Amino acid sequence: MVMTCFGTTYGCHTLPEESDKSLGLLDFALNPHLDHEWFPENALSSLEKLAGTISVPSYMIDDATAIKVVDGIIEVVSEGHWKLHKK
Amino acid sequence: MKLLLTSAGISNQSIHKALVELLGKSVAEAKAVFVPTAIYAIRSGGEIARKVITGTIGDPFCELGWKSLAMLELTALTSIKKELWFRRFTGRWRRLPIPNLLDAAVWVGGTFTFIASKDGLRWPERREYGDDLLRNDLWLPYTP
Repeated sequence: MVMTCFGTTYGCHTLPEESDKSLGLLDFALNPHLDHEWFPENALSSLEKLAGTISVPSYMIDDATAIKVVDGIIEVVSEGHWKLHKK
Repeated sequence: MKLLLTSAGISNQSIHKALVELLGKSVAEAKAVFVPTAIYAIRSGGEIARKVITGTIGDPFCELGWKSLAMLELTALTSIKKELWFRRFTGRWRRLPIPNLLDAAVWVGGTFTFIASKDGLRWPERREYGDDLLRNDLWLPYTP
C-alpha cells in the first residue's frame, strides 16, 4: 500500500494529520486481506464501497494473491480471489 | 523498479514463482533486507514484528530461506553514519551502495506514514538511501 497513491493510518502515532500516507509511486490503490476472517471490514462489499470513494482504480486481493509490477506493467498472480475496481 | 505486492507473504507456489522470476535467481542465492518500521504503530506491532521475522504469523517471508537476511530500521538512518551501513552490509571496507549488494527489500505493512511522511522517516533528507532503494531493489511490501 505504501507504494501506491492510497495509504492508510490507524491513528496510533503522533505525526501531523496531514502527513503523507503513501509514496504515490503507483497510480492505483491496493486493499489486501480481501474477505479475511480476521478483518470483517475487508468484506468485498465494504472494499467496493471504499473503492468508490477513491479517484484511482483499486485492486482488492486476498492472501493468496499478489500484484507483480515490472517497469509499470501490472500482472496479477493469484491462486485465490481478487477484484479490480476500475475507474 | 520491480515490485511484488503481497497481502500476507509468499503464500503459494504461483507467488513464489513470481518472486524467483523477479529475483532472477533462487531465494537460496538471494540476499534481502527486512524493513519492519511501518509495523510498530499498530496494536501489538512489536509482537507482530517478531512473529513476521520468525515466520509465526502470515505466510513465509523472512523464513523463506534467503542466502542472507538483514534488518534495516529506517528511522535509525537519520542518526547512523552512512559508512557504518555500507560496511555492515558488505562485511568489508568496500564503499559500494547497499542496494547493489542486495537482491530484495522486504517491507512489512502497518502505519505507512512512518515511511512516507516527511515528519516521520524524513525520507527527503535520506534520498541517498531512498533513491537507491527505489531504483535498484525488488520491493516486497507485505501487509499483515
